[in-house]
Amino acid sequence: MATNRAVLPENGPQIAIQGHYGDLEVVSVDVTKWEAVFRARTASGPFGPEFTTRLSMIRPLSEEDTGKFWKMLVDDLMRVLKAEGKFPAFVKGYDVTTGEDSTGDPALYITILVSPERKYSQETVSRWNSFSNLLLDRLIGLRLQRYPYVQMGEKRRSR
Amino acid sequence: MPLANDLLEQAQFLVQREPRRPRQASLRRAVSTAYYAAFHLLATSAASQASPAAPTGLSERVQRALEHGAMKEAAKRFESGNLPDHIKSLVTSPLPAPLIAVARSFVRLQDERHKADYDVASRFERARTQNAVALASQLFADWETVRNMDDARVFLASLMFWKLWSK
Repeated sequence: MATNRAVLPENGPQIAIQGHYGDLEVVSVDVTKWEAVFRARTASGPFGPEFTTRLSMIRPLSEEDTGKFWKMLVDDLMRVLKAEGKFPAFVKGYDVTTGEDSTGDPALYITILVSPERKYSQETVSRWNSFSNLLLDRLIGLRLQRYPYVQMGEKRRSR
Repeated sequence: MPLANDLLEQAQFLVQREPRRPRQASLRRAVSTAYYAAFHLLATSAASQASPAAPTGLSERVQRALEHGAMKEAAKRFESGNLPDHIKSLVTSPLPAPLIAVARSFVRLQDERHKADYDVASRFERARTQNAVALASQLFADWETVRNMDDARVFLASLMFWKLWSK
């Protein structure tokens, strides 16, 4: 039987929003406006209309959806920083995970991937620190209920 | 040299102990030691502020009243600027940037310390470890610039009394 499933976009994070019903998913996130666009979705694919809501209103349904939503948010933040010319060349990639921090609070972990070296210069580490602070300032500024952490990692070929 | 400074120096040594292929043990101990350097710097300052120098041993005893979790909670609130009213009324707004930086570094170091000591699935590489040690080093520098400010005194008192003040 013919199906159009293969050409459908991947499901966005499934969410709940007060006052809206159905299988809701996030379509896009805009950190500059503190907003996200979402829509209802059927089994055969997405259908409109699309709505806009504050980021703080979004409640991902599962752990997987939480991870997807925060990955979207961080992707958008990185997009904004690139547009502002504040995305440094040393960043070879980044990983985003969610979980709990050491005191049990909801946490967002961003691992900035850099090229592996035997020793990094003080200037290099200082540049990492500046970029980490920029990310943390932007994320804390969103005032969302997940504490952000930025750490460094080394980008390996196998990654 | 005070214990805090010795610990920082040891963390800096451990991160470069094996120049070619660093062992997980060295990197994890470097991260943990970097946190404890920061912890002792702030804990000693908090205890000195809260107790007189005499009799000998009193300040050290007071220092033991500090709890890592409560210190982190307090530091988180100073970092985000989301302070409860009873503390907000004691500090300037906005807080001095170096004090926010101290709070931020402390929160992250404690979290990294937790992973370094307990999370065997977490992988510590040179970049991650060197960054953590640099955070501790920067915390020392930032603390030096703010430690005589009133806001820093409120920060120290908050580290010590966070739970009691929350009641």
